[in-house]
Amino acid sequence: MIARAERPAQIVIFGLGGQGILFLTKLLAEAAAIEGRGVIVSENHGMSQRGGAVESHVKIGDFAGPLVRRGRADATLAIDPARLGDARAFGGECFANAAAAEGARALDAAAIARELGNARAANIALAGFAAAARPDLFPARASLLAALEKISPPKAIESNRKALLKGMESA
Amino acid sequence: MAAPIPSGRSSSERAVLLGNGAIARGLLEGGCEVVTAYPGTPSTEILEEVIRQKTELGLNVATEWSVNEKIAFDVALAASMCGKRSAVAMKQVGLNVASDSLLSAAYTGCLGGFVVVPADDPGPHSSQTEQDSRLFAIFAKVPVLDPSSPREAHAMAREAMELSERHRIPVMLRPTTRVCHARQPVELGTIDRTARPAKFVKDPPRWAATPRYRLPLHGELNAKLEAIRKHFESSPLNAEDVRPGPFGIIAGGCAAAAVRDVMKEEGWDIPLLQIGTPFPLPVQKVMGFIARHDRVLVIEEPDEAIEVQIPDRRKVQGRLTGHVPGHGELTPDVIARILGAPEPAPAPAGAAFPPRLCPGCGHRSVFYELRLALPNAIYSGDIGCYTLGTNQKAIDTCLDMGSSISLATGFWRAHAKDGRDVPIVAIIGDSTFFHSGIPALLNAVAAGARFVVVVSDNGIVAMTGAQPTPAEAGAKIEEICRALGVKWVRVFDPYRVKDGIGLFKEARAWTKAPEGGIAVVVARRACALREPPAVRIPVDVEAGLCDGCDYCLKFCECPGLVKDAAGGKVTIDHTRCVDCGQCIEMCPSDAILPVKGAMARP
Repeated sequence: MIARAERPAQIVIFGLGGQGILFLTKLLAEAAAIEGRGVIVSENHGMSQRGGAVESHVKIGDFAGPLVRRGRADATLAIDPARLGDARAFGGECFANAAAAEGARALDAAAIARELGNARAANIALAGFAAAARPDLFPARASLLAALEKISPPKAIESNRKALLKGMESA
Repeated sequence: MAAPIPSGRSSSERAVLLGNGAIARGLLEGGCEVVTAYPGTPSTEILEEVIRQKTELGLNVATEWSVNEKIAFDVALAASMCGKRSAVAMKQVGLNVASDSLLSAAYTGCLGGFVVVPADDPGPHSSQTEQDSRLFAIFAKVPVLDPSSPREAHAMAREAMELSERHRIPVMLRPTTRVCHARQPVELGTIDRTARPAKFVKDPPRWAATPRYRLPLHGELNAKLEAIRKHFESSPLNAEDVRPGPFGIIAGGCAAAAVRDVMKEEGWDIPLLQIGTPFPLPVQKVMGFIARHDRVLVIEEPDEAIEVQIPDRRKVQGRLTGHVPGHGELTPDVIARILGAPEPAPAPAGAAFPPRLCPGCGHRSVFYELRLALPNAIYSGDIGCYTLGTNQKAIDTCLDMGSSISLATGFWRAHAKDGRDVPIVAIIGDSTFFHSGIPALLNAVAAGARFVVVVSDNGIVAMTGAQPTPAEAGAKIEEICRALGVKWVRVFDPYRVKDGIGLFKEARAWTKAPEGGIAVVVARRACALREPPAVRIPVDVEAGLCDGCDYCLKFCECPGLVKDAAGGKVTIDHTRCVDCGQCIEMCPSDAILPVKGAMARP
């Protein structure tokens, strides 16, 4: 078995503009870098951010380019349940922000975020859920927390942290 | 929130940087003192990151969001003519605007290092063309470097600066979307804080060269390019696997990165020559690589810049031979298919999520009012968020920056020549108006054209993330229009739907009046993303009144309005709605009503 720190991981995040996909992508990149891993991610900017479909790719390990091939993902996150079909087509284990989802591990991350009084943190809760379920693919908890602290606006650090931990507990 | 940038004093520091941030860092490490740009996806964050990093590091670097790309180019070039190191960034189509200067500057050369960064957009994701700036470099006769990752872009930005200053020639750095918007840990180098005092030395045969002097300058340019080609022959920017074999690949930019990843995943071991310096092409190196193989495939995007420069293509396959698709982005999926990897299962037809104007956007009301006031007009559109007026069927053309007004002039001329009067409306945003709408409007006035111009003014460059326009320094669109000779100019708030419908009808009447001509309506309302509506008017749909006609979905087209699948009626999605209240006027059954007790607009 490959030692955990050496396993390459290809993760694809699906959602709609305005759901914090860019933030999540940056979070995973920073957390992987904190662990000293090679990492390259791809973000959507521009027109797609006007409520359109957004898809970002995260490749942890020794990769040259930022895009994941369809069918080659190790894990996918559907931040919006409407993107579940696209997420599942990319392969790997799918995690969905939904009360229930066919062919995916579902977590009502939106409800968690609302309970925490930070409706925008559903993305972070779902990432925590997936990271706890698949520690072989995602950066470790301590790295995620450190990265979250680094990139969150100061006043959102605490609520983002709670969302991540709550998501992790739900796995 | 941006992560802090390490100071860069020790070479072992790393930072996770966006490709555009890596380019910014490379330029600063290269001693860049003046950086200009006009925003455009995927290039915008280059100058944004220069501004962020210089602030973070306390660097004395002059930065400017110029009015358009040609002006940005000239401002940065003049800094180089004074001996400073400088750079200009833009999206690839911005280089079209700056091309007049680029081609001339190749001849005059520069003094301080001068790097031109046009960001290409294979796909295209947010552009009107898939044009290849490397071909522009060949056309203009300037060297070009082509990074495959943020890390390479960082190193190449520095290298481009050195190369430019050494040979006194503008050097192009050509990233593509997948470099600009990739993010990766980058090893930081030391910032060159050398101040190079501005000193313009008069040299008319160079800086004011007339055709007589242009001829020797052309010879000088050719000599520079040949010296640079020789340098590129042994440059580490062209990474070569020298093993012989039946099949080899030559690739550049992001396509090279994708080739590496696909080969690794498939367990293939094909010799690769990555071209980081596509022009002037290191021809000897390329021909040496080809000689060691029976067949060589060239993989590059978006067009064929390497392939066309190969003098003997008998063993070469690529776009010219149809082995690589002639359009579209070379994603790893496409490259895997070209190389014969097993295909994944076909993707399910997912729901489409087209981009839409944001809730609260003033452009939306402008389009609504236009369709009601002038339903049969030719709607001549332009480049910006408001191109999304196509969703409301209130944009008929979108050519390039500023063309709403010049195309409208042409529409008027074509019909007027036949003795016909048709309603024509040019719709242009504030930044696009400043960028290239002004000369088009001057031309329309001088031509005696008759149409309505709507400047939909949200105060910033919204599409690219809120960069400033000259309005920040006090420029007033209505005053500019009057100065250009427009006699009928009105300013209003597009949230006032009834006012808008009336004004657009009045404007049209002016275009038909004997003494009339061009009518300009400035629809002024701050971008809702930056400045949410000050007066909040929460609304709800009175289910008893909604007859499910979908009029609001088609004409208002706000993401906050959703059809309730079960009941067939429209409801308000309060997670998206920003309480702007614009839709109240847009329901034929008066079913969209302010929530009881909510304040009405004064």
